[in-house]
Amino acid sequence: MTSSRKKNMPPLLLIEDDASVRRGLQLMLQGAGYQVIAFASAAAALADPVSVEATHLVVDYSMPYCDGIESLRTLQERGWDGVAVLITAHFSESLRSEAISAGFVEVLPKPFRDDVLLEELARVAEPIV
Amino acid sequence: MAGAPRTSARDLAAAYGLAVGSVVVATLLRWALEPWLSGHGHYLLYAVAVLVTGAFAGSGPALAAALASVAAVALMGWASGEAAILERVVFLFACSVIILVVSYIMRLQWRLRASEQVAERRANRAHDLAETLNLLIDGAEGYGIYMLDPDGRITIWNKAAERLKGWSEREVVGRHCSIFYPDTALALDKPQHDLDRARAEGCLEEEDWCVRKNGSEFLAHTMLTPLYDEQGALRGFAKVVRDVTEQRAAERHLQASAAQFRSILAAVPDAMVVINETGKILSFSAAAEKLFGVCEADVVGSNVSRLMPAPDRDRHDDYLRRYLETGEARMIGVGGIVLGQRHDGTTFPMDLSVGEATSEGGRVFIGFIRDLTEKVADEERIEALRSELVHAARVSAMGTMASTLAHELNQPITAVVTFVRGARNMLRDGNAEDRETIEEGLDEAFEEALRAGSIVRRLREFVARGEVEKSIEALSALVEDASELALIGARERGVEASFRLDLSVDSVLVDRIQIQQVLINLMRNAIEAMIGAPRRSLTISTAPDDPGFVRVSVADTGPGVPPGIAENLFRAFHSTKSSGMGLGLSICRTIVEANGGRIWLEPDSGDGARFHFTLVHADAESLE
Repeated sequence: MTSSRKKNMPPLLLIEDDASVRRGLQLMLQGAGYQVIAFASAAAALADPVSVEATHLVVDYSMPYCDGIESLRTLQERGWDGVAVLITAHFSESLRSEAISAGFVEVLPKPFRDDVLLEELARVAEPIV
Repeated sequence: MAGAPRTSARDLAAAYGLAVGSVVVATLLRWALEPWLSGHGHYLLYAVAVLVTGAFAGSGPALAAALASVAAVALMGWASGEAAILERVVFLFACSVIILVVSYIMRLQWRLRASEQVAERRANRAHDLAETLNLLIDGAEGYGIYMLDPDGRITIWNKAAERLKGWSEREVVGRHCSIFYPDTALALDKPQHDLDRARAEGCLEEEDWCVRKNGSEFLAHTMLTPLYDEQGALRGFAKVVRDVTEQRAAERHLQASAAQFRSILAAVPDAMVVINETGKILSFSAAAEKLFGVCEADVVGSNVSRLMPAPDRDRHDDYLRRYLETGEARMIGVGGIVLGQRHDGTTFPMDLSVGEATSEGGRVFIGFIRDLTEKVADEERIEALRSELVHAARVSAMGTMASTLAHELNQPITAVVTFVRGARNMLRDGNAEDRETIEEGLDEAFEEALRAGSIVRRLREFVARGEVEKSIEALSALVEDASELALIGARERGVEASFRLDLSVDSVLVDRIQIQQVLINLMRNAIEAMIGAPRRSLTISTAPDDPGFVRVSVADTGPGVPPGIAENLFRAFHSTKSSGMGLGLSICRTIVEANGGRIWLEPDSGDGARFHFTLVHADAESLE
């Protein structure tokens, strides 16, 4: 049952260094129908080849060593073109415009509502120029 | 073979054959050696024969060989002289020692062989078991199973564990189990705590986050069991791990939707009661709690019939059973107004609609209930006001007729006065021939007084504040009664009234006084309308209308109703008269509609106004 269901569930890469935020999001997104692969650091996530197979990305902006925007860039260099949402506790308009130009569909300031994140993820990926 | 529990005949023959053969060989050898031994050591070679027999054939044949040897020595004539007896005794003693030793060795040998066989069988079984267990462990889909040594290092690792955690057996065996713990748990020294707790509690079962080889996390259900050897020393731990992320996520999702569903239900103003196929209450909304005055915990599990008064209370189980058996719905999918019963026993009208749904547990029925107490009270109040108004209109109609009525009453009274005065005068004159005239006059006075009484009685009946009630009435009698009041003063105004009543549709279901009021109203209007008209003819007729209805028509020969006025004719406060509030026809409409009919004005045809209204025909069929 699990395996057949998993086939229909879009794989989603979740990178967030805060354990409680990450685990809460993992359960929520999994419950919403995504097959969530959750990592505490961008390094670990990017080292894993499954990261490129994900169709969706939810990544925290401020993390040690490699921030969310860099993570997306690294993925893009490997040919990734899924739907990416940046989440951050340090929201600013300049960060937003930087993230949007990097290819995120939206930047959500924490705390955000579950349904807002799900709506953004459900958006069709805008073509990256 | 010597100690074997069962010996075949052939084995037995071979054993004793060996005994005899060895004795024969010993005899031949001793005989051949006689020139050198010259009468000494007769038994020496026989001892060898007994030993050989004992070693290869067992103690029984060895004993036989010993006896055969003694016999052979005697036969060969070697047992002569005094030493012979001693020699024989010594030989037999040696033989018994040999036999004892041989049989002891044999038994040892057999025991050794038997224990070897047991060991071999045991080894085979252990191998089978291990193989089965391996298959089982590796095959356990989703259950990662691994063993730890007492220090927490991995010793055994199954395929499912590899699938779950990403580590292969080769990589992971020998490493400490702390590699599966996230950093936050490592900071609290959780790996060692877990091992300690498992030892202290006998088994540790919990759900916590677990790290894969690639660093990603999953929510794991783990069971850590310490293993002890026979001496009670800790041998290690067995750990069973399952990925429950999906399950917990789904549960959380479900809980969220359930919570949402509950909050919606709490917000719905209608009370909601869910029951199963047997009528047991499964769920009882907050509004239902308020409406029935009982809390959910007290009603869930009990029969829904407790929420209704008799007779439904006793029949509800049958209603449900009939629906389930025949699909014949009384309420389900239809709904209607029924009585509910509160916890304190009081009843109230409610609007019930019932839906059906199929859930995991079978069919359920969902009842939505709206309290109609207030609505019914409102309707009753409106009904009361309406009848007040109708009554007021009746009184007022009579009020406007007051002068006509006074005139109508004055007529008979005047007649009575005249007759009585005339009779008295005649009596005073005392003429005998006047007697007949006096009697006639008194009869007239009597009739006139009755006439006046009848008018007063009708009037009083008409303006009485009667209860609104429908009964079966004869339409002709009703029209006649109404005409008595309505036509007062008509003749004086030159109005000719004619009646065309169809007696085949004579019986109607109406409120008598109210329908009389309609008739009086229409007739008075007609009479007034014809003032000044060249022809003044009023016709009241009855005829069959649509099936189940009787039509009553009031037609005059007045100027008719202008089209602009006809439009709003039956609406309140539209009056064409200088006096009056314009309530007459609107009250007529209210009354006719409350009696189940309709009222309308026939489009103007140039020869006066024709009003029609219908009444419910109370014929045999429609009476049920």
